[in-house]
Amino acid sequence: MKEVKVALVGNPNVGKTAIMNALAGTNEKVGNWPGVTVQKKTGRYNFRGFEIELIDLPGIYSLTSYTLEERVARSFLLNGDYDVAVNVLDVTLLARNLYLTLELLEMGLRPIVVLNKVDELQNLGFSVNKKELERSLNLPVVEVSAVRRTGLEELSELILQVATGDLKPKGFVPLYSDFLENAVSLIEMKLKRELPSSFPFNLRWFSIKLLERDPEVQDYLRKKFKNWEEVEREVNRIEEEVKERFNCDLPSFVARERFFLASKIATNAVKSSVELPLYTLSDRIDKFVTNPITGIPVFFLVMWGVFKITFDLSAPLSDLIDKFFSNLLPSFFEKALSGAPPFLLSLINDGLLAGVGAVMVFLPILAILYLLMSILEDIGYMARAAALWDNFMRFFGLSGASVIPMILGFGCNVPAVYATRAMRSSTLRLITMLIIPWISCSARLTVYAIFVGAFFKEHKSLILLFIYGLGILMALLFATLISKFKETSSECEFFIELPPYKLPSFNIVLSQTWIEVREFIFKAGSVIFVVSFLIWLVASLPPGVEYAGENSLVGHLGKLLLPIFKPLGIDDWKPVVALIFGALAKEVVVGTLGTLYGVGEEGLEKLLSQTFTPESAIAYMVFTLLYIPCVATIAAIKQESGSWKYPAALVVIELITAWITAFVVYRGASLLFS
Amino acid sequence: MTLFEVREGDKVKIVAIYGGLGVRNRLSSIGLYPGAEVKVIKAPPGPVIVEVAGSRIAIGQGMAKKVEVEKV
Repeated sequence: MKEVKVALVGNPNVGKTAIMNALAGTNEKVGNWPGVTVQKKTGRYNFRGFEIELIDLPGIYSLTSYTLEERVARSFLLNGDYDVAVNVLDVTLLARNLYLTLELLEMGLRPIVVLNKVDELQNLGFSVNKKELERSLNLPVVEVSAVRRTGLEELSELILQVATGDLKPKGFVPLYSDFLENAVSLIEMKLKRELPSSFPFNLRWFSIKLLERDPEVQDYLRKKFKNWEEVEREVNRIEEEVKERFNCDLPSFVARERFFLASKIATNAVKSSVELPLYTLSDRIDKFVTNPITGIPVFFLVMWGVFKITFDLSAPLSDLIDKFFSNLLPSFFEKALSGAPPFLLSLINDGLLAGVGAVMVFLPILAILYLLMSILEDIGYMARAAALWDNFMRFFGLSGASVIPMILGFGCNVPAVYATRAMRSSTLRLITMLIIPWISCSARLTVYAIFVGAFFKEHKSLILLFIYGLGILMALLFATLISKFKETSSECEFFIELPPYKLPSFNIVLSQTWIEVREFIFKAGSVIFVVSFLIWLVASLPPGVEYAGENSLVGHLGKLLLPIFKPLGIDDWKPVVALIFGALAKEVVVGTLGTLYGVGEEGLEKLLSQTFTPESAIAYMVFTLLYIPCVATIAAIKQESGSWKYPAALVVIELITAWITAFVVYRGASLLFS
Repeated sequence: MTLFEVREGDKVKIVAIYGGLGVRNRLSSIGLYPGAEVKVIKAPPGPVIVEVAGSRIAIGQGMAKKVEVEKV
């Protein structure tokens, strides 16, 4: 079967993902662009005997190389291997979207132009003249509604025609004002004099980018071009003239010219049948939800609702799954394999089933939370919440969009890591996912509950407040630190576009949720499974020992590591082994303590008050809060950052920080309590 | 005055944007460049919301203080 590769390029929020969904269904893959943390989505479908692969480029407003997303999209468009470029436009914002189309044309690309959201345009009382647009751009244009699934076949048809060469879009060369055109020709002539005729890029485009002071193009020429300084002098001279005549810097001047042309083309193509004030109700809601006084209560109400629904709905399901994998199936195997060696039974029950169960219990919580998040995103609330928190989060080198993943972290770190996908800047996204593990998830609460019950009955809330506050403090501190190294200033989202509110489209939300859950099972699931198996291995070797007992590998490991924990006031190897098992999931710490002390969770409180002191109890809680993320979170961070180096570094940093903090807390508590 | 000091309903013209090339490039690619006229939908507290080229853009306080405007 012949394969056709299609690059989808467009602004953020234009519905590229929705179009991909409508065409390829759930036959979609999520990954990362090589070497960077920018997400890459691809989808496949068959059409008329061709296999069409859609490659979703990062959503961008322009093709200048200032952000990682822009660089990824641009280098793919310049060198990438694809057969057809498709430029997706939000037809309700035609002028602004055409800005990018003009940049594509400048580069020498001849994309198919897709006008998405034609149904919304009609609802607003406008109509678009497709023929007029085709004439002015000299490109094939197709009207589509991803939500209503119209125009999709025509799009596939056009893709095939372009791929097979039956249709050769000509494309027009955007021409600007005489002043700018003269400047461009001047630079172009200077470049042409020296560059070889085999120069791989469009010279006119290169000249325009030089006038825009594009960093990548400048670096490229600085290396390849002998008379670079002469060209630079010329650009500086033009800039002086622009400043004098137009009261504007050169890059903004170029952008302005492009914007004028885009607006002119858009005005000619869009006809309004009614005169109406564009979305006034939406503006009124925006004023309410982005004003801190009213917006913050609304935000917490929404988040509370999300948590309530998620935990109420997922708890019985997770319990059922947990029972199935930790009671029902194990007892079934015990009966079925009654004659088999205990080693085999342990492998199945403690190794395999525990591993599969660890993955499966996350599914309900992940699916429901993800569903609610995509609804919030789809109706447009996420953008408002990000705008609301932006000022505050900037203080820590983060952006407003980091708030929702962080809040979700209090429920469970795993979906919180996935929720960073809604963030546009990939650098800020990376920082946010790296600080999420410091946020105390609900699984860690089980550990606090038992220690607080044993030692701090009178000051329960105070101790819990201290622990949760410490987690938040660490997260923000860590964010401030990384943003110093990662230079977020150049990557910041300076503005947030607020798309009009709309009803969620359920087929898109549902298929997205299904794709995410499936990715979790196969990508994160495999890591969780392997680690569960390894932990089983160290707990049951050498053969014949009691599972996780004193003579097992993990028991020896616990005793080996005990000296490290002595300064924290821990004198027994059993809590150390519990921490090792806690790497699976933090709530396992309590269960392991119960098993090791042979008392079950009920008698544990009493027993703990004999092995721990209040000082070492609080140090142990702090250590549990801060030491390594659970394996599911590690797997999620690996999957989302696209590299092992981030979760690996995080584990090391967290272990060191946890020990130091626990030590300081232990010492402080010793002074305070005595 | 800056975009931070505007009032709701104002129509303003951008005079200058202070900030690095990256900032100016990104803002101008959505229609916020010197000479552009925008309508103020919401003023502080919280982000400033402006209408530009048909879309609504929320701008944080730090950024808003770097955009110099004049009333039209």
